[in-house]
Amino acid sequence: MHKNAAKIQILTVFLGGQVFGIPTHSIQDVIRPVQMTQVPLAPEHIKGVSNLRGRIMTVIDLRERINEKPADTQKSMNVVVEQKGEIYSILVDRVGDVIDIEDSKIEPPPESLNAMWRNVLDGVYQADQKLILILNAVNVIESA
Amino acid sequence: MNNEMHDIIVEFLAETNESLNELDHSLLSLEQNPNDQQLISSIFRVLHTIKGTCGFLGLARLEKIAHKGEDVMGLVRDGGLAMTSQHATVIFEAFDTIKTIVVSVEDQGCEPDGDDSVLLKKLEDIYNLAPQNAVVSSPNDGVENPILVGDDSPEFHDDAAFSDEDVIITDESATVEEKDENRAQAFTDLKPGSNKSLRVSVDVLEDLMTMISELVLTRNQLLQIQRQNQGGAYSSPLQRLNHVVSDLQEGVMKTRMQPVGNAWSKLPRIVRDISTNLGKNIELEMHGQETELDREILEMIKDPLTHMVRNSADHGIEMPEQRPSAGKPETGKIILNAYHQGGHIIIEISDDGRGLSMEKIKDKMHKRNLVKEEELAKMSVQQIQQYIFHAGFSTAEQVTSVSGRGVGMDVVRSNIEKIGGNIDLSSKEGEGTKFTIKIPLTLAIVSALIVGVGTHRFAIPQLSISELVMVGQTSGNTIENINDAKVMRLRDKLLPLVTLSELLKIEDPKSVSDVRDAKYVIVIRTGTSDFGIIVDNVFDLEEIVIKPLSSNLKDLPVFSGNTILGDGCVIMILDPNGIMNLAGIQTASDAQALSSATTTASPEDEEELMLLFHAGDSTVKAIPVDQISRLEEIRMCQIERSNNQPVIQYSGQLMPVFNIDQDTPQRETRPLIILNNAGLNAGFLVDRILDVAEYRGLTKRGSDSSDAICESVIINGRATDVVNTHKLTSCGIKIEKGVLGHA
Repeated sequence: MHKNAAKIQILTVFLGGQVFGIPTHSIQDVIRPVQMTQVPLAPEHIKGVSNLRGRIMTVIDLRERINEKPADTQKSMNVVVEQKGEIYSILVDRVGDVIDIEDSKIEPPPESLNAMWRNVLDGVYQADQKLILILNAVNVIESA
Repeated sequence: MNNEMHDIIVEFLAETNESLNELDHSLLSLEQNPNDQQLISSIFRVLHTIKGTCGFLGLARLEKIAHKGEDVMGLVRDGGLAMTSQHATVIFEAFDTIKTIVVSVEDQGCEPDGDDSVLLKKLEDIYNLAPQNAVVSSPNDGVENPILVGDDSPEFHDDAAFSDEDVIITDESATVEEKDENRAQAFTDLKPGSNKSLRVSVDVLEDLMTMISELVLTRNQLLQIQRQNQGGAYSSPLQRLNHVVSDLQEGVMKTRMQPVGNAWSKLPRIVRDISTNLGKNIELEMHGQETELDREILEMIKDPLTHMVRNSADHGIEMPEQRPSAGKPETGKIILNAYHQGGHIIIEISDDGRGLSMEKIKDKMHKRNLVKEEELAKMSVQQIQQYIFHAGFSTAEQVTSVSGRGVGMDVVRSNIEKIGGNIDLSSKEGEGTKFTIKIPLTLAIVSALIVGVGTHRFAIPQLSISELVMVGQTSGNTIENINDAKVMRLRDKLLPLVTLSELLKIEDPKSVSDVRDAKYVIVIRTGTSDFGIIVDNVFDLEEIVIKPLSSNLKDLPVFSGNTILGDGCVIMILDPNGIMNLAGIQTASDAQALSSATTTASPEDEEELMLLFHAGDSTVKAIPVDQISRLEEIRMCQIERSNNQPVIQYSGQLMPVFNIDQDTPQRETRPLIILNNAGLNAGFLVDRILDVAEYRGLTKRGSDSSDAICESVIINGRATDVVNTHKLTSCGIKIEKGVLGHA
């Protein structure tokens, strides 16, 4: 769909003061906080399962996934992605805009970055004011 | 063109597979009736079609084998050769090779490399050595043999020109009709109702099923809302929607149903091969092939069934020379039986072989250090037999070519439990073995009990629940601690318990922390042992659609899936086996060690659960629980009359109701015991259900006695009459006044 193949679209999301970007082609939906059922014995970053229009969605807290303080599930937004026929929600504090970025300007994540963080990133993008960390949705979903 | 070609291949494969399956049967019967012209013709026809199509599609290996096979069968058909066991074996071999090639064409899209010269040589030898071969001048003329002139079996002209045409129109009799009226006639005879069915891809049906499941859930949600706001304009359309959705669900389910006979189709062949290999005489009897169940389940039980039949043939049935000395006919028998029972399918596999050898099992238990000597001494025969379900437990002395490949009964059991079924066995040394498998009708929708722990809710499949016990200070049952393990005494047996909140590490202020205040124990029956799960609350029984866990939750062994309830909430489905493993509850031996230490049960008598009730007079009456499929509360006005027999509509059918006593005061509702005897239902009206008690040493079960009471026993210190349910369900005699009125 992109006229210029070198450009990709990302949705910016916020976690505390940090901006992340999720490529829009992997996003299905962005929804408000949902009612969910906790899953006992599940890894900590899996907050629960929820009913999204008749399909069962697994909710993943991005904060806990990268070893940060847990999110407030009552306020967090759900970024819904589909992966191998299953749907997942990635919990983020706030959702920003959809922006076009140039593919070629995405740089690999710096070596100095915490391994937990590096693990879920595709790269970093230098926007006008700040760095946007480009998330790899598949890596976020698949537990290390 | 390429696409077209692909379609033709797919069609060819589907058809060939179908005909090959049919053929296994035909060949077996052919061995017994070597002169059955119709069978011979049908085998010939399949080979002919394969040969023709393969030539067209360029599948050279298949074509050659089919061609040679066809030659032999043509000869047999024309009386030039008598079908013998050796010939059948070679033909079988040819079909096996064809099957293998077909499978790999399916997988890889091309024929595998391989050398069939040995097989081809064998077929040629049979052909060339046939006594009447001299009469038949060339293989291609075989069909025109004068012996068969006038025979009305379908004739084929075995020339290339015809077979090419035959390929393109494989099952269209119309074009053939133009060629030859008679032949067309034969064709149509062979394809009864060919226009009435059509091939639908499984994916389409699966999608349809998923959508129906969603529809059912949405309907449930609507009905729930409706229940909360009584009345209103929506109520009657909702009712209609309810019915339509139920019918639709049933209809779509039907499309997934297949007769269980499909899973059995390979068994006669397997049994035949085993008996020829080992020199045994074995007869395989099959009943209830038409019993239908979900194709998914059918797929999953295919291998376990095959394994068990193999076991029976290989280890169970003795050599023909050993059998007469045990007072049995030389020919051993394996019987497969399938029937419906209360929303489940029962499949029985029994043989009249040597039965399980207690000595060998005990010996093996010793060698593997499974139990201590003194524990073993206390175990009942049945508990010891259960050990054949242990991993790596095979009592066959020798590993034969047919069984004993390390895939043992443990795999069979776990496969069956995976689909929510269970397996039981009974065996008597010297007399035979019988396995009973109980499986749900369908996997898609199951009924489950919703339980609560704190604020959490979970579903437990109903099939694994044997009973529900209320505990606490007010009820008679209390939870005790033995060496930090929680147990409960249930009818003189100690039941190991698992506290769900502890197991799942649910820290919830609302959860009951003190077990003495706990409310319910769900008694779970798994293959080898019983245990209880302590929960805070028990809610409804609900029909649930099982959805698989997402891939990052699959590692949790305590859950088998999740589902969406009528109120839209997602809940987790508990897996009883997973809970048992996680909680470290061991199998029968541990539970038995515990209970035998505290009770003095004589292990020889079989214990039986009896339902106690009042009916008619003040005598306590009893019916063995295993003959009861359900308890219902019915309104008296539901009882109707048909052919002067009181009946009630029960799950869409008329069911006779017994023991309608006009003397007792007419109450609006009364408990009805639904009896089930080999698939036959009957209702038995009673005044009051009293209790369930255990009784040992019941003598004549289902006896031929014509009395309504088959025996009187002492249960819980009271004289109790055991009702002869056999009489009620089997003879269906008209009983208008209380059978038990003054018994």
